[in-house]
Amino acid sequence: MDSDKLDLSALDPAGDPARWEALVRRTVARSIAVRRRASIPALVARWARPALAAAASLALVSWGTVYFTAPPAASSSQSASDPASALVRWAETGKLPDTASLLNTLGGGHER
Amino acid sequence: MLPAMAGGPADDTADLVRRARQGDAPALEALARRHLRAAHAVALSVVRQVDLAEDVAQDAFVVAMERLEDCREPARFAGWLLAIVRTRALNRLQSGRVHEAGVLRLVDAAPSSASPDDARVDLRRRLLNALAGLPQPQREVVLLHDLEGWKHGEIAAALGISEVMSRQHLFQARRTLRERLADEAEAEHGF
Repeated sequence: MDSDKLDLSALDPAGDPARWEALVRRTVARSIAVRRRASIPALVARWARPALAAAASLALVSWGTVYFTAPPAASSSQSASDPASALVRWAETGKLPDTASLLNTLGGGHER
Repeated sequence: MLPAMAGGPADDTADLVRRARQGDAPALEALARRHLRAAHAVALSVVRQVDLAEDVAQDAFVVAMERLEDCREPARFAGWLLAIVRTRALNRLQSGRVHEAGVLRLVDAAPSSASPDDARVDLRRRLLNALAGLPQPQREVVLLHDLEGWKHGEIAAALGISEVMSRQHLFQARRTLRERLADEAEAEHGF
């Protein structure tokens, strides 16, 4: 089948074995060096997604903990002094606030 | 001679690629020993200078190792590497460092870098001269088949052509090379 094969051995890079071996070793040494450099971003990329997922889980757990353990009184007192919440409450109830409440609420932002 | 892909199947290569990605130096060396010759053959088919082909093959292999994460199909590492080799070889040609008219500079190479055997150097010159007249795909196929010992299936997979096309390229390349070598020999002996 391969009786037609051309003799291209003159082009064989390993015709000079020492020279070829030196080329292979140089190539391997350079390749190892670039792999070491390339492996750092690859390592970061490999761990980036799990790290982000872990951070997101931690944030969710922290938020849940704060949300479910915070005292409700603090929340309501905060909203009571909040002008926006007060305005919404007045609008919903249709009840007009007295002047003192109005001044107290709207002026609350300037209190120290 | 070390046939470039005869040492192991694609699965083996894929395993080597995965290990090399993790920084496994022996796997990386195994990849180099298995594929550097083919890289050299393809580089030679483009630049047609032995010394330059060595540089291109080395640089291309190092680039491939640097971008190993981009090799989406590790089992087809050979084809991916050879594409890098081809691109870099063409870039070197186009960069002006190599002039088409000077494709046979290998004979000007320093004696220490070329084979000391004058007959071998002369034969190499003749072969490169003859190869210069072939289309690029034919040069790659004949070098991978007749120099590196690849099978048509391996060539087809690596070059992205059919096995039938690989056989056709080989047939045409051999015929043209024989004609050119015979013409040259006849011209030399005739005068």
